[in-house]
Amino acid sequence: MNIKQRIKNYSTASLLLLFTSFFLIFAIKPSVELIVSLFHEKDELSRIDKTLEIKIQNIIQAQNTYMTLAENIDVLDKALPQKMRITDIKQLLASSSATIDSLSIEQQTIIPSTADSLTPIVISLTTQGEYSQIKKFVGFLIQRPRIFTVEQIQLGKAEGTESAQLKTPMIINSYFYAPK
Amino acid sequence: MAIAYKFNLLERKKSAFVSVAVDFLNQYIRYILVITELIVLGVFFVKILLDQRIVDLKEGIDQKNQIIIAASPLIQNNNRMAKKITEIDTLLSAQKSTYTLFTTVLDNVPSSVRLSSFALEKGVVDVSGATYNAIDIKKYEKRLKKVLGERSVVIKRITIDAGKYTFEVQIQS
Repeated sequence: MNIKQRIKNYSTASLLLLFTSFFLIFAIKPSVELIVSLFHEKDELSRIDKTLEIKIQNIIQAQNTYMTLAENIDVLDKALPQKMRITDIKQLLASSSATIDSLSIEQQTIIPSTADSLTPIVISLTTQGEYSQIKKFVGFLIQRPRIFTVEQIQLGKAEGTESAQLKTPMIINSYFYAPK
Repeated sequence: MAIAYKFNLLERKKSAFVSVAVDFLNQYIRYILVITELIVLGVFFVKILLDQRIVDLKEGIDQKNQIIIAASPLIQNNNRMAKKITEIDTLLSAQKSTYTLFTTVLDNVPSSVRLSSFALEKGVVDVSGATYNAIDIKKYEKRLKKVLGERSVVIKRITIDAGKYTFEVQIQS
């Protein structure tokens, strides 16, 4: 191969490389990058769309459940009222068959909070009666629509009695669900 | 005398680079251009399709966001209700546990045992009593363990005085 032919071959190859590189860098690469970025954006949006779809399905399901349970909402409100309703507690305790010697209910200060909060109302009382009556009274408390929990209970023989009479100091809690 | 003219009919010789460039342009540039154009055209069509899809997705997301914003009071209400139900469930469990403890401890006392004190606080019961029959203390412990579990009953102390067994038991649910 003579020198002229060799120069021609090299020059052709160089020009081919040069032009190909030019078009690769300034035409094909930006186009491919654009497509890749668009695919990424589409994937991201599809993902968000799917998440929102699931969220909406959950909302619909929650709405259906809520509608099914709507008639029982007042049961929840009775179990945990939004206000203290101390008079209701006193009336309820008075309606029991137990002999209540003393009763004190701790007034709660409602502190504004950012979320609904469960606040206990501490009730200290002393009842007197036989074991069966005390048991009946505790059973009476836990069967009320409003929630009462027995925190402390002490059974001891009532002073000055010879019978099976028990003096029972108790601390029970009732609750209210203070809205924010 | 005849005049002599010089004619050169041969093409003037081009320089090597120009010749190579012309050859190159003639032979290869068209392919490069065509391939590039094909790629760019393809990208253009794909871009149109993707843009359309992206616009549709964005509209869909906007609509779904609007639905979620509109449903936010409902969501908050449901969350509040769910929290309330959880609280009620916890309280009812505590209530049931305490009542079971209270009734189990007192209903299972053997007839020969006399309880002298009973104190229930924070799910723990301290009981003391006395009997003339030591086996009944064991019987009482066994009954309680059967209902409340093996680890729930601990006999803290037993003393004997003139044939009378006095005991203290701690029970927890």
